[in-house]
Amino acid sequence: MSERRPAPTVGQVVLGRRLQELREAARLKREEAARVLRVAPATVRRMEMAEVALKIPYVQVLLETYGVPDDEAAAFVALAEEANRPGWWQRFHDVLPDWFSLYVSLEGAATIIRSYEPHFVPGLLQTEDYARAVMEAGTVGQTGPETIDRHVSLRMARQRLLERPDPPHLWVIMDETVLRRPVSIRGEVMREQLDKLLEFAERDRITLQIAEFKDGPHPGTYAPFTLFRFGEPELPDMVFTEYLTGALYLDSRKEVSAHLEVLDHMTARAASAQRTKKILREHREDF
Amino acid sequence: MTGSDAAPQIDTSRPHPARVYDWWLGGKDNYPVDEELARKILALDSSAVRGARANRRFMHRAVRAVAEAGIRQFLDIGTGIPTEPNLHQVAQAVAPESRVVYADNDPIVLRHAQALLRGSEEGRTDYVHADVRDIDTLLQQAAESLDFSRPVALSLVALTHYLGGEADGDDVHGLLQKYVAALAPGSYLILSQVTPDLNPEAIAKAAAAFRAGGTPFHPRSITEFQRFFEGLELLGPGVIPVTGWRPEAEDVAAQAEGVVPVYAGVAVKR
Repeated sequence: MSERRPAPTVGQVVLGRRLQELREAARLKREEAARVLRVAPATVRRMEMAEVALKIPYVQVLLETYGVPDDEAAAFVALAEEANRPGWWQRFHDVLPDWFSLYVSLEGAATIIRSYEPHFVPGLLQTEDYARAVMEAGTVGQTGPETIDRHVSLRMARQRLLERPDPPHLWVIMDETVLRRPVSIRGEVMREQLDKLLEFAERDRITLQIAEFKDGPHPGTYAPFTLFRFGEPELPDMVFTEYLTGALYLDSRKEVSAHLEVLDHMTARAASAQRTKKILREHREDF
Repeated sequence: MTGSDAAPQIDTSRPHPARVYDWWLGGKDNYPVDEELARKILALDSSAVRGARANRRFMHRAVRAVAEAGIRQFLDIGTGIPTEPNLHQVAQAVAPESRVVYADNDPIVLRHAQALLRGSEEGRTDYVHADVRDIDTLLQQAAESLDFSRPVALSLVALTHYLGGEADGDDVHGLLQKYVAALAPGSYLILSQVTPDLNPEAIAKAAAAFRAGGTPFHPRSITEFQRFFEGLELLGPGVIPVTGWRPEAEDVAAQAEGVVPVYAGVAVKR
C-alpha cells in the first residue's frame, strides 16, 4: 500500500471552496477560524484548498462558528463524509498520477463533459488496441509492458462511465488530424476505432464534431482541454488542461469563461454532428 | 439540419440576449459580458430573474395545454440556450411521438440545442438555423420535419420584444401574420413578451441598457400585444400577465413575489 494520501476527489475540492465561502461570509480570517480549532492557520487553508481530507469534527466546529444553520451543516457533513470515501480509481494508484486522479473524479461527477482533442480520439471513446498504440508511441524511457497494460486497463475501466443509466453528455470536438495520423501501422486499429466512433455517434448523449482542415485555423489550436459541467447550480465549471509532466485545473470565472467561449466558437465552426458521421465513414474507407 | 454547416459569423465580444437570459436563469453558458449586462438590467429592473423564470414556466404550461389538446407538432422560434426541462421534454412527456423543431439564428445557440436536446425515440427533434425574419427559409427547413398541412403549435416565447415594428424595418406584426397564414386550421400560437404597462420606469431603463449593449429592445403595450392574435381565437384566460396564464401552485407563489412585466397568450387558428 502506498502511504501517500490519494489526490482529492471533486467533492473535496468543491466542499473546500464552499467552506472558504462560508468563512468569508462570516467575515472571519483563516487565523480566527484556526484559533477556534486550536490548529495552525495552514490547516484551515489546506482543508479549503482540498490539500487534505476534510476532518469531520473540524468541519462541524467550523460550520457552527460560521453560523451555518443546523440542517445545512448536517447536509455539508454528509457530503464531506461521502467525498472522503476513495473512488474506484484509487486501486490504480500505482499508475495514476495525482493530477489525473482528480480528472477521473471530475469525469464521474460531471453532467456535461466538453473537450477539444487536437491529436487523439478522447480516452473515453478509445478501443483497447488504439489506447495501447497511443500509449506505446507516447512513452519515452523505461516504461515496461506491464505498466502500459495497467494504463490500458484504467482507461477501459473509465469507459464504464458511458454505460451508466444516466451517463454525462460527452461533447467532443476533434481536429481532423485525429483522422489523418494513424496511431498504428496496422490498418485495422484505425478501422475498428472509427467503427467504434460511429457507434458512439449514434448515442443520445454523445456529440462528435470534426474541425476540418478546410475551415482553416481555429481558436483552440493550443492544447487539448476539457471543460466539466456539474449539475449543481452553485458549482462552477472546471477546465482541465494537460502538459508534458502534469496538468492544470482552472476554475476562476475568467479562465473558465475563456475556454467556454473558445469551445463555443469551435462548435459553431466545426462540422455538425450529422456531417461528422459522414466524414468518419469516408475516413473509415481510407484505412 | 440543412444550412447548419454554413460558415457563421460570430461575435461574442458583445452581450447576447440568449446568454443574458441564461444568466438570469442561473445557467452557466454565459460569458462575463453577458453577466455584466444581466446584472446591470437586474439592478434597474428587479423582476428580470423572476421574469425569465416566469417565461420558462409559461412555455411549459402552454405547451402542455396544447399537447393535451392534441397537438403533436411544435415549432419553437428563438429557442435560446437549453434549460431543463426543454420544450420537447414537456411535449414528449404528454405524447412521446411529438415532433419538435427548434429554430434560432445564433450558430452557437443552435449547436447547444443540437448537442443537448435529443428527443424521445418515438418522436423527432430537429434544429433549424434561420432568423425569425427569414420566414421562407425557416418554414422550408422546418417542413423537413413538420407537416404544415396539419396543425402545428408555433411558439415565440420572450422573442418578439427583440423585434421592431414597421418603422424599424422589422414589422413584427406583419411577420407574425405571415407565419400564422402558413399554419393549418387547428394550429396554435404561443407568445409572451415584455410590456411597459406594469412597471414603465424600470422597463424603460432596462430597454435602454439592452440597446446600449447592442440589442434592440421593444416592450409593447397590451393593445400592441393583443394585435399579434388578430384573426385568432384566444384560449382562456386571454392575454394576461405571464404568471396569471393558467397558473399552477408555483406560479401563484411567484405572483406573491411581485409583478412580472410580461404579457402572455395562447390562441388557436380556426
